[in-house]
Amino acid sequence: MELLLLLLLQDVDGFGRADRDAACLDCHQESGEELRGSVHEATGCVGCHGVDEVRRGQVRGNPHRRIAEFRSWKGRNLTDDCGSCHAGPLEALKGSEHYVDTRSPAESMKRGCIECHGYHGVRDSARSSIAKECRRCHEPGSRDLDWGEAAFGRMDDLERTLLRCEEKLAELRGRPGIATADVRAAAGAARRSLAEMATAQHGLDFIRLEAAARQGNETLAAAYNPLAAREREFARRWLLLAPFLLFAGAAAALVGARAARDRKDSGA
Amino acid sequence: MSDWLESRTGLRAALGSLLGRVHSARSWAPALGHVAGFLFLLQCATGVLLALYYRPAFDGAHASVERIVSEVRFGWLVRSIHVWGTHLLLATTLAHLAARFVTGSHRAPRELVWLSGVALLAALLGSAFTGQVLPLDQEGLQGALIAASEAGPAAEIVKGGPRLSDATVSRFFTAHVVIFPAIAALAIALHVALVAKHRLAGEEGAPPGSPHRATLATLGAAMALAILAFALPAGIGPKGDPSLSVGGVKPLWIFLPLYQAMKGGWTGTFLLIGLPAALVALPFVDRGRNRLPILLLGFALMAGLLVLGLLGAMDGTAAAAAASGR
Repeated sequence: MELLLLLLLQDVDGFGRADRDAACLDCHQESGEELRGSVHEATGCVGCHGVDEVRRGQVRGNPHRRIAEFRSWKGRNLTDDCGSCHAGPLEALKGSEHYVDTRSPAESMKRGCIECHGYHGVRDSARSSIAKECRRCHEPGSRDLDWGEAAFGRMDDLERTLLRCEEKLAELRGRPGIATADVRAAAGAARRSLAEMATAQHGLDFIRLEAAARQGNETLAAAYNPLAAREREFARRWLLLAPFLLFAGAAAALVGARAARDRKDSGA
Repeated sequence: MSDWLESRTGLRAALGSLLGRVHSARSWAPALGHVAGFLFLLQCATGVLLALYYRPAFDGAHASVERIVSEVRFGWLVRSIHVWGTHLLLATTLAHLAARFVTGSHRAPRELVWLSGVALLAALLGSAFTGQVLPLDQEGLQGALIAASEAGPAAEIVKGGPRLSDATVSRFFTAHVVIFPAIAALAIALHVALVAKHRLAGEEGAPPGSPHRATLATLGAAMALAILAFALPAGIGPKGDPSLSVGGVKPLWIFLPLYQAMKGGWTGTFLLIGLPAALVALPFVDRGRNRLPILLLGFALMAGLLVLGLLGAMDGTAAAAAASGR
């Protein structure tokens, strides 16, 4: 009788809502460790995996209820999770050979975002870091690697020119006599196109990418190079002042002579 | 041609007689007034050119001044002349005022000459203050906020609403371009007419004044202004941020004594009201034969203002040096 009562009183279900990282980290400490210090630390577990209901304290079997909002890793292409925030790169990736349309999570980890970027411990997705990942599969001297590295190299050139340009613009802001509006517009356009290239590069169309980066660099340099000449021209502004000073000086001399003559006349 | 004009307006006769009587044969001091007049006209001319490009809007003002300074052909030169012209105009006016105080040119029956000059100075100060606000850099924004806070109950009139907005800029722009210049122009007209009437420069029996000193002084001022504008062209700082803490943001040099005095609370109000009151009262107080006490008081006041101004200028640099550990 008491046992029945005890059973009835117990919370037979025992599911609690796991909508915060603390609930996940009860069981998934390792993943939590990897996430700490990564670029997705603020996103947290729930940001990618969604909310679920879990039976806390359960040591055997799967404590997940797997409600509709939960994005389980079973039977899904994990690359889609990345796409929930990074839609642009995912769209581009889908058109490339680095994407596999699969229901196997293990397969999607081998070909997709996770292949190059990792998953919980993503710290750095700079071009220079990702470029190292290419060599894990692509032999040095291979066509794909050469094209990829060439495209990345041109994008790096563009970024270097852009940084130099932005530094110069910051230095010249508010300084008189040196027009910078056209350079500012060009730098803005280059910044935007670099961002578009960063998305488009996931499509791995390196020939187009390399051409676009080269073109972008040339356009930006064409806008940026005249700045030095404009600075030199402004430094030569004294050539304008000289005639005025000569004229004013001559006028003063004439007036002074006239004054001296008047003084002499009135004195005499 | 000039005969045609003369027979129809009589301008040459009127102006000639007027201006002929304001020159002095004896000293250079009256030329200061001419230089100030020339600089005022130059400010109006450069101001009109600037107003063609300036945008009196809370968001657009700073960008429009940046455009003037960088993009508009010779915009940097017009703005530099306008900025340096302000400094020279204020310095010349103060020097002129000090010289006239020393020579006792405010004494009866020339009180109105002095008072019109004081009104002119007030209008120029108003113009300078409102002008500094217009670029809406950090100094400008700070100026607008100070004006609003000092206005007390009239703060909403100064700001054109409960907070800084387009309306604020419009008001400062109108004050700078219309109200204060109009008062200044009227004051100048009155001042020059009264000077001519009292023959300040060419006293009876003295040789007639020649315009040459005034012309030479004006040419000298123009050359100095040109050299300053070319050597030290005026740029513009970053856009003012109302939320930024404003330590070390200073007003125009002529307002530094007031800036320093305002730190003491009542001393600021005392200066703001007491100094104009003293200037206005001067011709009526300085009537006796013995000028020494008034002269000494005047010099003491000038020295006090100079000290306050220097303190105001130096303030912040000591704190900044301490903060950087030097």
